Amino acid sequence: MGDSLSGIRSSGIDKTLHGLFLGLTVAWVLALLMPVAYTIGDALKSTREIVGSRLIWIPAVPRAMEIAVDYSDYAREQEALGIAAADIRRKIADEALALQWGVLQDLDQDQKVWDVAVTCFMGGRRIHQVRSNRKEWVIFKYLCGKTSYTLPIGLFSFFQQYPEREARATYWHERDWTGDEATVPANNSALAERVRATIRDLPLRYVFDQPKEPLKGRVLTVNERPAPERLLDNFFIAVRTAANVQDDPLGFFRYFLNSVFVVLVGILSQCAISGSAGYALSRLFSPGITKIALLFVVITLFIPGLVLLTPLYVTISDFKLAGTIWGIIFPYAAWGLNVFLFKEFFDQLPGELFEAARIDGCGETGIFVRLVLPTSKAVFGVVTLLTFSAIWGDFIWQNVATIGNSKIWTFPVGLTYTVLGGVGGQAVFTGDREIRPEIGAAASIFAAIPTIVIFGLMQNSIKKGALIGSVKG
Amino acid sequence: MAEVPPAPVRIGRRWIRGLQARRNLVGLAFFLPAIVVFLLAKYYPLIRVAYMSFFDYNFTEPPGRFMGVANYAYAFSNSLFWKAFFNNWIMWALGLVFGFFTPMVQALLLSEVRLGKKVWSFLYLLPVLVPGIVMLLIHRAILQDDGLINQILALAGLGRVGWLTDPRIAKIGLNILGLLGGGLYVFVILAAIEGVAVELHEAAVIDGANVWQRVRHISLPAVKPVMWVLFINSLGGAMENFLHPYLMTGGGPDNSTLTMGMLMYNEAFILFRMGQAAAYATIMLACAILLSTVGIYLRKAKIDLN
Repeated sequence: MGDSLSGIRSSGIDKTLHGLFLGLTVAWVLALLMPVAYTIGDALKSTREIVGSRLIWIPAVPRAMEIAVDYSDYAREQEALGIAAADIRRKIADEALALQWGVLQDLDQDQKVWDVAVTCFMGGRRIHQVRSNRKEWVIFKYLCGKTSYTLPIGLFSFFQQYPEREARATYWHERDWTGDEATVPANNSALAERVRATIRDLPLRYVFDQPKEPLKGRVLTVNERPAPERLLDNFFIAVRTAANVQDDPLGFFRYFLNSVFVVLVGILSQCAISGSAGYALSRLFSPGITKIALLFVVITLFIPGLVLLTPLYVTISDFKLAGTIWGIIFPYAAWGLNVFLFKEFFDQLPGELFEAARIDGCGETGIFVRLVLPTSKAVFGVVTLLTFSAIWGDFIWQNVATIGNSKIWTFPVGLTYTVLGGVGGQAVFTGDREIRPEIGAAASIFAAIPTIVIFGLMQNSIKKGALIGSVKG
Repeated sequence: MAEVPPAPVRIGRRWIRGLQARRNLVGLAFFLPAIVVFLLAKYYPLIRVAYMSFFDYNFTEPPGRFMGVANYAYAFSNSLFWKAFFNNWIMWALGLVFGFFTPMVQALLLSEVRLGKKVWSFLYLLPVLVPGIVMLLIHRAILQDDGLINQILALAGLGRVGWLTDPRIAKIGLNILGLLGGGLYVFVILAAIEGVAVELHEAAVIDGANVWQRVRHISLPAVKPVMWVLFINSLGGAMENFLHPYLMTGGGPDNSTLTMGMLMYNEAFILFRMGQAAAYATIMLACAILLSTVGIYLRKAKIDLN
């Protein structure tokens, strides 16, 4: 087979046609791969780059920004009003947080700034710094003096999920910290100058105590540089967003482990139950019984999976398995298709082998364990592969079987509901978290990785599997 | 069976029969787990769904109130049911229009490509590595109002199309990416093309046939049986249209992509009317049995033809 047609000589019009066919094939392959390639690009973009009016193929390099703000005048003003120094510093810290957050929110859209640091100066000393980047959207770092504090708060649910307002003050500041010596960095680009003007007028929407007030400090400098190391941030955000939905120390990896468990038990069960059933059909039953047993298996192949969706759910409820991981595995225990694969393979084994073993006094179970299993690695590999890809991607059943217990969400179900935007056309919100297309794209790539790895590892099995059917047929 | 040798002497036959009986027993032990699994996970739910369809099924006190055929009467008098029923068929047909011949054309083109044939066939297979649900979500993203396809249309100076949001177009939108083709079918069909004896092609060349004529008169006929099988397979899957609308449109807009599967799912897991859902499922089962029977007849008809 293979390149049988390549040997045929071509001339004249044939050469033109071959060229035409090649051109069409290349165009078609490119069109086929375009959605996947575009998704990989999307995973590196900002929201604006995806939904904007311009079609962008190559994502821009994200930028990092450092903003220096002087609070000397503000502090003097407050001091005159008789406010304690520690409280003034607290107010400044509040404002720095709001500014940092506001800049990250506003600039991420236009300028793809994915890393923002705000440093507060007072009387030539650096007293406070807020630093965060998109990667750590849900965890803000506060550098107050020598210590850095981490506040576990979600970005989009900042106000709702962090009720201990009083506790905040203890995080904000070390009372006796009066800052360290530091020189204010110089401005470094035209963009920085433009941004500086914007920041001055930016209403600080996120300040706790004073909503929508302009900045009280004076913007000294805005430094801006390319930050290519931030390019993969969307992947981290995807993981964090998925993990943050349920209060679980394993977070994102819970879905992954659930899927791995379901797939592993499924494969083991398929190999054991379908394998022994296939062997019984192929080598043990007399022809009459084989016919009846085959019919029993064939009928299961003709039942549409969708029809069984409701009654299967009711069935696992009957067995008190609904909402448990064993309920998901229940219908994966054995498939008629795998029984047939095993039967086809065992049919091919030479009959003389079995006769010889029987004459040597080997029992039927002994033959299966000592003779058949060692020679059947190929078919077990193929069944493993087929079962893996079938169970790993089976969204419909896993979606139903995990109703009411998000702890047992499997990989496709968990990703779909947390970062891929849910089901249906218009659902783009899950809980209080907005789903962004770039995060969904990153999550899609995550979901494809295990399949690619498994297929890569089991290439040999794929080739052998293609032979199982062909040798007989 | 082939491996049971003819008895050399008369005494041996009874011994062999005894051996076969013992083998049957061992076989039963080997087959028993499969019997249990198939009974529990296939046959019992199958009977269960038919049984449930006659009740206003109640989870806490199963099976609840007996309804007779009221669930079926409701189904057949429900305009939504008929909409879903016909949507199923329209979308099956659209799936064939956009996706059925694509792998065939791709394989026919590929069979006569001389340069980098292995590379192109590998690239055709590549999207198979992406799990189906992820591929659907990628398709959903690029079909959205501000998605890739509309962006390209805008670049070409054409207006935007509501692929998933316009009730008149959504059915096409769900199926149009079948035009991209690729996948395993390309390989299956390519194998059929390359299975033709090379002498046939050589003889055609000597008779002065060009590439087009060889594709038209040698490769295309070789593909026909495979396409026939694929067509029968698609018939079997006609009732199983669920994941596309569920993930991409949610059955909307204006129920224009609602399928039988979606209707059943909504009834069971959104409205929790299991009895009604079971009635829909039983109707789907009846349709599927009918289609399978048609498929078996078509297969037989094809065999008779040859």
